[in-house]
Amino acid sequence: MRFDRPLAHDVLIERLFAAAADGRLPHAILFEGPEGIGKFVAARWLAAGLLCERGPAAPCGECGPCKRVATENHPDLLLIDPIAEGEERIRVGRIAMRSDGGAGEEPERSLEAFLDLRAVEGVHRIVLIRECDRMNDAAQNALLKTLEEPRPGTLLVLETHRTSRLLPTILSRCIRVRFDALSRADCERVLKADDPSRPAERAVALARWADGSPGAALAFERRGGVVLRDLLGQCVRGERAPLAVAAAFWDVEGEFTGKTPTARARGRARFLVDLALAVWRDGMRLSSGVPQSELAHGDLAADVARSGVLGAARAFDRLTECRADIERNLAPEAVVERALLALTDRGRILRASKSGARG
Amino acid sequence: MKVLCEREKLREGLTVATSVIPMKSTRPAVENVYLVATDDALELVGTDLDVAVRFRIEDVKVEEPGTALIPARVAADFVRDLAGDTVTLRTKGDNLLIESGDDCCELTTIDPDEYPVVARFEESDSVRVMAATLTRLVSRTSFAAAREAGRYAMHGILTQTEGDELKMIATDGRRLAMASAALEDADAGSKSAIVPTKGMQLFCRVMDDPTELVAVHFGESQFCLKTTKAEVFARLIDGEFPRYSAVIPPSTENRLEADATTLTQKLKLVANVTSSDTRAVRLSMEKGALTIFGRSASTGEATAHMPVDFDGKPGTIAFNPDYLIDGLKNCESDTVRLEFNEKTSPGKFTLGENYVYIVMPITIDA
Repeated sequence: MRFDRPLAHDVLIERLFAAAADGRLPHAILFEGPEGIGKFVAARWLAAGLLCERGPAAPCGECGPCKRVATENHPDLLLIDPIAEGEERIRVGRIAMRSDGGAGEEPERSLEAFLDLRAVEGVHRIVLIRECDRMNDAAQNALLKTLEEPRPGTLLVLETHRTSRLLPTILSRCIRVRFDALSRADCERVLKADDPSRPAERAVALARWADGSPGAALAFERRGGVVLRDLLGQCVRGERAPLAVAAAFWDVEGEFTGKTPTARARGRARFLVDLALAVWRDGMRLSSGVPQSELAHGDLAADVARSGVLGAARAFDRLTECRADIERNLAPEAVVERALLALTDRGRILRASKSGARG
Repeated sequence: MKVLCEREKLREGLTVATSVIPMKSTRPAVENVYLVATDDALELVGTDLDVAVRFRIEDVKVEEPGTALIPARVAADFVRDLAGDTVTLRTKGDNLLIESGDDCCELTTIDPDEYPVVARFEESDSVRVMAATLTRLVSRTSFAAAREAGRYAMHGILTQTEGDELKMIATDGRRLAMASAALEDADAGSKSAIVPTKGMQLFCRVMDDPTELVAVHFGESQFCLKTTKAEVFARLIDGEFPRYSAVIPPSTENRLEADATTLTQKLKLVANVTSSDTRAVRLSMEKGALTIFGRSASTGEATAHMPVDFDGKPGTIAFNPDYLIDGLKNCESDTVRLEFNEKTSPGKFTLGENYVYIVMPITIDA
């Protein structure tokens, strides 16, 4: 089945089903909240429940409409999923018809063309847009027309974790539904349901590191985060030299998206520096008196806190610079080395000796 | 499911069904043809979600009723190339066997529940019309429907019944074609739907016998047609059709009547010199004569004369020649009538009985 029960968001979705049953469901809903917490899963669940023969209610999964939603064959449901389609942006052609699009090919079905025809099976025509912030301004403006003049039976569910990238005119035309990060227990539940063969302690650790986002936990695992975090720990504790860790870092298996090897290397470097920043942030919070048990990276944070508040702040600044350097397209290999050197005393000694030589 | 049928009828059915089934779709199930074996017939269902066809083969021997969803193109190609006269279709586990003589093909099936629901024709509240009448109305109007992106309500033909009359109207905002004909039923009531042009054209393809009496039904979301062999469904356009009656002049001051063939020929002649950016011909009228003039800054100019019957104030009006030629292609009488008031008001062409074509004029300097 391609749609799953959105764990930990049941109450929210139940309320939307109740609103639909009373005929109070708005025509445009924005699901917003942190990344990877199941907003799009919830959107699919909502769509399936509205199209289900027994709906509006939790989808049965057995009837024809449920099967068609699950296999992406339902004629009254349009999914715009740039992640599944491997697209960085949602082009304006997916929203509104353009005369110049698709030369020599079957013209792509746009949202506008989908909504221009009446429903095939029932009354609802549902459009789900995943990470709708990937629409550029032109695409968002094209969507406005549909948002302003919805036809009966139309439901648009927009999902995003970057609300600030949406135009105010889009936001003002949607009912915003806020999804919160999951508790650690709920996060563990989702991870266990995702892969029952995953060791329980791994699920517990991933849930702690992911800060209430199962999606982030799964991405962390896919990117080899468990091994990378271990390498980072060795570096922080001084068990292994930073440059040796940097060399080992590139050999860790992990999935990073990008059309070129450099783009993938940049993604990998970004992941490491973000992880180091999260560890250092926790170290500084530990120094400020936050209990270790409340911190995602409490074990590593203790080692960071030992370097003192000033030392931690200095390393944090250096990491922030490295993060900016990645976005400046500097060589990712060099950025990783600088980031790891910034974490250790040896790095500070090296920098001090270099600045002495320059002086 | 187990069915025996004639190869030629199965081939014909698969050809009709695959004519609507897309080669590639974002919804993989619609790339298949849905076979339904009832007690006395085999139905082949195909759809691209905009239009759907249910082709019925009557003379079959159904040994075991059932359904199957199989890849449409492979099945159609295999049946087309078979040499035998009869074909057996039977399910075997999750597969469907197509057998004829010593030849056999085993196709993978998928769960029929994954296939979109294709409605059945509702006899109640349907109206009857001669196939040739429906085809004629579509050909009289469909050319004027909009094709460019946007203004989706104009991508269809407004189809209406009023009493015993069936009327079709299509427009792209610059021209409008309106035709009507009598229904077989005395009073069909008042019904209206915007049917996509693509759907209407499919209806015409399926109606192979012009003398057949077909039934049409105005559904809530679909326009449906039933012939003896097939049921065809087209999803309606969910929009508001322009208020077309406002552009049809109720009375006119100028009236020209000309031989349709000669006018077409002269228009084509003069249109040759006009370019795509100044696609306009000027029609200057005076008693007994029409002068057609076209000019392009880059190529030159052309003039043609022809005798006409003109009643009104001598004057000039300009049109896009392509629009006029499109309309004249469908002219059903020897004489075409043009009526208009001002050079800036719509030109009303009468191209046959109950057939009106409105073209907006072009304002050109000098």
